[in-house]
Amino acid sequence: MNILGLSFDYHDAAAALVVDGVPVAAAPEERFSRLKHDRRLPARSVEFCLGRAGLTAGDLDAVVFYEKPFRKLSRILAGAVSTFPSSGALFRRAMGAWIDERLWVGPRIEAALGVAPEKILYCEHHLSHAASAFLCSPYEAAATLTVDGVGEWATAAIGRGSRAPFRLSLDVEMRYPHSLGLLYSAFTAYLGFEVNEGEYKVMGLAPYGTPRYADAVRGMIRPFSDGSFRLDLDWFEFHRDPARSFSRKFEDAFGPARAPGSGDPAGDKRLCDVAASVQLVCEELMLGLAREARRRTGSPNLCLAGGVALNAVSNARLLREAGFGSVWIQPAGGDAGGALGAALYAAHALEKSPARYEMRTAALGPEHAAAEAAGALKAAGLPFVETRGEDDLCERVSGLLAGGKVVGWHQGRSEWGPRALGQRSILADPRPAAMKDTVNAKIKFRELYRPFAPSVCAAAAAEWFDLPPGPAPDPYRFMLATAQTRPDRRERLAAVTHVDGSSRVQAIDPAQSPLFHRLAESMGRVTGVPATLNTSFNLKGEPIVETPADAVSTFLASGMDALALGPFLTTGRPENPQPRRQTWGSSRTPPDASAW
Amino acid sequence: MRAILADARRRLLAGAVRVAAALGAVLLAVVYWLVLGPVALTLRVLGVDLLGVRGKPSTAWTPVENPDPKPRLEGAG
Repeated sequence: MNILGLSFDYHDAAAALVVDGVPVAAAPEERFSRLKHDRRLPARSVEFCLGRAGLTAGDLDAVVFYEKPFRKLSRILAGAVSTFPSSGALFRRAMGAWIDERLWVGPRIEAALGVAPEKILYCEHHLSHAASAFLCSPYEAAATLTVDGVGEWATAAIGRGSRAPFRLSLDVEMRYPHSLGLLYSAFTAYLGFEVNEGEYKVMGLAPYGTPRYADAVRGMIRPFSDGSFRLDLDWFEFHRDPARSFSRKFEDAFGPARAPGSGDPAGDKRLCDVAASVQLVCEELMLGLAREARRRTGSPNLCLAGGVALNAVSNARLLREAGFGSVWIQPAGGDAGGALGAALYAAHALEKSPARYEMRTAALGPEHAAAEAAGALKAAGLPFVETRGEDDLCERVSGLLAGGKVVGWHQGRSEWGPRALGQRSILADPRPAAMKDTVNAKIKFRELYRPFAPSVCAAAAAEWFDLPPGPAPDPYRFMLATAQTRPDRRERLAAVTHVDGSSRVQAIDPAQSPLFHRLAESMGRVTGVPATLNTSFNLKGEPIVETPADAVSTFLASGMDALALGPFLTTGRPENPQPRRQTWGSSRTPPDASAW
Repeated sequence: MRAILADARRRLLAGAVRVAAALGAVLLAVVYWLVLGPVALTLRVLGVDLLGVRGKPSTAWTPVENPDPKPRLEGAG
């Protein structure tokens, strides 16, 4: 069966195609439209997925939307009624969006793809998340935990899955407005970052502070002994105001909110302390939820998804302290991942014996031919050489990196999820501390305090980071958890070790990413450190590059020194440089868009 | 002449969109105050807590119904 999963209308629209139970293609719309967090119906992603499999829309057996829209509408109406008369602005804005597009999900899919209405199915939001983790995991049976802002009504859910016979159920759920994701997002907005985008920045800011406000944050929450909790809504506005997440009481307790884009937040101790406090409480709440999942299901395995599952620091604590023997986390933990989960769930619900699938690689996106890469370089007037195979490419690039150069790296199929894992990466030498500032300031034009991640050969990961000997736990293959850099190695990994000694490590599996692993090995030979600094191939506020033309354009708009585009390597600049392009846009979503 | 007509058509369309948007906003305001309002007040009098923010429960977990997988996928609500 050919099943297409879709997520759209909120943020990070995506499509995923599952053929006979196996995902063959998946990509977010932003990679094609070049609009960060593009939320529109993902027509280009669908086109890519179908093209990759050699199918047309007529070949689809089902198209599955990742949530139940009318159930979501019931929650929005209930929220508006409950907060009447202060919800007028939220009601007008939400209903405008619903009347304009969200009520018509089915007809819009029919119109865009030309599929019959009976082929359009709907999978609950948290069930989609749970399926995206469990049905990609290596487990026969597992507990599932999904935590995000809000889906229809649910904000977190505990469930359980088994492969044979197939069963994936949700046992219990926490409901809106009691939400860990919305709590974290309120602090994201308070700290002057964009909601649904700046949560990483809060996580990166936290180690600069001390959690002296943790008790104040805990005071917003009423926890229960079973890991669940309620929010005290006196602190928040997201449930009644479309333009503001937090209340006046919030500012009375923590001081004035930071205006978006103003100053360096890492230079303000108070803001750092607030970030440290909410991060600590987030970790505590996640641990409580995970321990309850363990208690309820008795399973030694946990599958984790939802936007909060992208909090790498919290995930690291969960790996250590929640009591599970093994944890698997969906690399596209946010709403984009819901498209894959919905399609996988439908494949198991509709097919008698779908193939067993385990996600060993996140490379599910488009791949571009060498001719296209050469064409993009020529079109930009860039001089380039064709390397003599992968060994030559890796030797040349590692030589450049060891010499202090910053290299764009565009290879193979693009990654599924927000992390660059060695397909669309900007690489640099992980050793000199100054490299962090160089890449932040001159290459990505982003905040100086933000840390970079290391990608290290899996076999050597435990030598450099505080990881158990042997294969690194699965989340480290997808850069989904942090680990402490070993104290005696920190000087040699200064560019990728955060102020608290942590790193968001990617342990490169040679079977998963052979070329990228070979590059890290080559770095080991040249520098003695089998790792690279690895950050996503984009500029601040832009989607990760997709095509060779995108890579060339970003290379020219940044201060990168070289670009490895498939087998081609350029270290030059065009003789007649074109004016630098403007940065691509970002789809500005209101701060509480996920709530309505 | 054709350009003038096209421009007039464009202006007419833009005006119609603005009028429709204004009418929509008025209609939403009417619905909010005349439909949601009485419903909200009635529920408040009856003590119905749609968002689960009142009372002193011992848990925030709600059990989930799990229909069979195939029918579970049917319907948008």
